[in-house]
Amino acid sequence: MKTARVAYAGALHDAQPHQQGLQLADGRVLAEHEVVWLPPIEVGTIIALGLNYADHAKELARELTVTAKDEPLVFLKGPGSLIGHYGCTRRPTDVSFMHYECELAVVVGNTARNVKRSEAMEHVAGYTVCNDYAFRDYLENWYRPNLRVKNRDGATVLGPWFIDAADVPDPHALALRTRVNGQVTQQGNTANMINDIPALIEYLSSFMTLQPGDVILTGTPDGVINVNVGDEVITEIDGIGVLVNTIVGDDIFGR
Amino acid sequence: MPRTAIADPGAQMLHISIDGERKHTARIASMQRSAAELLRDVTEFMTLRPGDILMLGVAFGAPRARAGQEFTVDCAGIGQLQAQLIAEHQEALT
Repeated sequence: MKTARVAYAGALHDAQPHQQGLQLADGRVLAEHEVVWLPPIEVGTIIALGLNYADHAKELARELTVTAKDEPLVFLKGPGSLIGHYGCTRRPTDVSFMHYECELAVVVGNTARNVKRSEAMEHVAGYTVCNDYAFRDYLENWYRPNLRVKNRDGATVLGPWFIDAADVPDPHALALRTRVNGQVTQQGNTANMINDIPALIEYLSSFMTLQPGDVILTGTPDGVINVNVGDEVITEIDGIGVLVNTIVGDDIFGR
Repeated sequence: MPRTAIADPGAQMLHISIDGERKHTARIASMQRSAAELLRDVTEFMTLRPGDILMLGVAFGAPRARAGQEFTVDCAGIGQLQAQLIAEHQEALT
């Protein structure tokens, strides 16, 4: 089952895929560009992983003292950071290195506290795609990226579809890639996560309660490059979705 | 407390007591960045909405407390916050 949340004709709607684009719960069939795409679920706490792919950690090895065998590096994001499919993300004029991060987003389905690895996947409702932008100029500490790097308005893109966990037989065997203006710049596979989904749920639920709607952003592989105003950035995960975002400048925000 | 009830938040003192004994006092004015500066800096990149909370950090030398102890954080004019620490395994038993 695939579902989306969209705005159309003055109201919010649940939608499902249709040959011509999508179909609202009330029956109306629309093309993809006729609606405004919102994050596909009502999101609770947003938990983000840093350095959860071996190759990305290796790419950054010169600047790091952390290794793959250390505890997962996690941080939280606020609700204002989220936008949906076909949204625009602002690139501040003063940054020299803003990059996308294509990530598998895991949506929690039921309350998880002190969950063991063997039962962890029972707490997963489903998946979506996330493009979790980072603004490297502002980075001071790899292990605790500050809010200015990772919690900017509209710099965490989520969607387009929520995919039911039952439709994803193996979430650890999904190819993912990013295309900037049509050219592939990032490629990876969820098989290469350092901490896989059961490990993350076991770890997180050992000290905090995970609630339905919480989202775990599972990290990104290497291949992150700078993006500029006007670039179209497409992050995609096979079987999960193709998420489109456009970079815009300070000017349209009156800055 | 409504903002209008506190003339100068920087002038307040924060007191921490553990089991009724005063252990620590900090002057809010000794913060490296004032609330006004922090609001300016944070709202440059994220929108704050009604109900959002900006926590201003902890003063150097904050005392430690053990499970079983009760602590009080007291700020004249703003209020007094009281709680007890319990061990994690006790939480599971209750």
